[in-house]
Amino acid sequence: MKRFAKILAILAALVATAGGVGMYSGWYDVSATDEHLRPTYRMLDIAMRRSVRVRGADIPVPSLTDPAMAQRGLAIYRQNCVTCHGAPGVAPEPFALGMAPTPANLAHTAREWAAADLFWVVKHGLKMTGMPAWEFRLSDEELWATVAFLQRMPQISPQEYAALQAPSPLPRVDEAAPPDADRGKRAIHQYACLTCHAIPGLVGANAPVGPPLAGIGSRTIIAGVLPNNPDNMARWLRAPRQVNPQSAMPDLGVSERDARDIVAYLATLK
Amino acid sequence: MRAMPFVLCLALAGCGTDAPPAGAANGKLLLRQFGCGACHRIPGVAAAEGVAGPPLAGVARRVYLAGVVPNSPQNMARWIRAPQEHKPGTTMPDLRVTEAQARDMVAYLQGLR
Repeated sequence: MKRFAKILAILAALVATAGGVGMYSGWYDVSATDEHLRPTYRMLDIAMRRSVRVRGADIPVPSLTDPAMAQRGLAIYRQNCVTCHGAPGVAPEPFALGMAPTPANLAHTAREWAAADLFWVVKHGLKMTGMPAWEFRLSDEELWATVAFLQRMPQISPQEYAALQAPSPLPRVDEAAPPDADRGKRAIHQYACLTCHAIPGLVGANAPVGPPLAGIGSRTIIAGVLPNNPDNMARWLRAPRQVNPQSAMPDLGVSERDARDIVAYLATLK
Repeated sequence: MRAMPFVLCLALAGCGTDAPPAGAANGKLLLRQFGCGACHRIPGVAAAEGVAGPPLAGVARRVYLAGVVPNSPQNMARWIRAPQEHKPGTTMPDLRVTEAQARDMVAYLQGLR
């Protein structure tokens, strides 16, 4: 028994060493033009499906049969999804064809996947696939409308799809809620803040394009021009180029609620 | 005057070693003398613990200065000498730093990676 444990430990050490060498030597090709090894693809696919299924399991599904709902979903689909996923008889844009994994044909996905799983993926996105999270862009109601349309899509012929008229999308309405630092921390990822700033407590690029935000809660001036208080910080986050037209920091379309939540998180960085 | 960037390049050439470039020690002293630490945290500079402006740890790797100027030794020296000219309204004051002084300050700051 003792000997068996010893062999196991040696094997584990060998596997870990091989993994480390493989990783560090640059052996695995990360290019989007070289397909995955079959076992790698299967492993990633199974892990993704299991992860989604576990998380979608507890989501209550509303009624999705109202045709008006699918109509709204069509408008959202045409605005946000068709560029990568295509539609019946419609190809994805050229840039999307170069992605790996290639964005799925959702007429197929919608037939195979449960509504709650579709909802979860559209809302939260998928790491390392290019599938973005829409939580900070679409309301839950809009997400369900999208799912309602997805479920209809396998029954729509290319001719019918081309003839469909979509209503224009409704303007985004912020839900009123008190500032929430935890939600702000998640919102920071959703507005690409880490591609330019190092922010304590967050895992990501933390790149030094702009100043690091460690201690930003104690800083007295924002961007060299505004006294640091919650209102000014929210204003700066929402419209930096209005405050300073020369700034390299772009207007990112941060909603009022998202700005308030991000401010709440930044205020904790003393 | 137009040859200045070229001369600066020559002066900075051969700085590939780990040794701090000429002027860095003096620059560190000047950063203290000009009171930069009243607004900035600056590693290695005594009592530089200000919280008005951004901390300068790693400033050599930063892509933009003050959010408006691409970071290079030349631009950093220009920014230090005339912040109001580059970013009107900034809280950072013109401190009448001479060209030579700015060059030494930059020599120190570019070592903060």
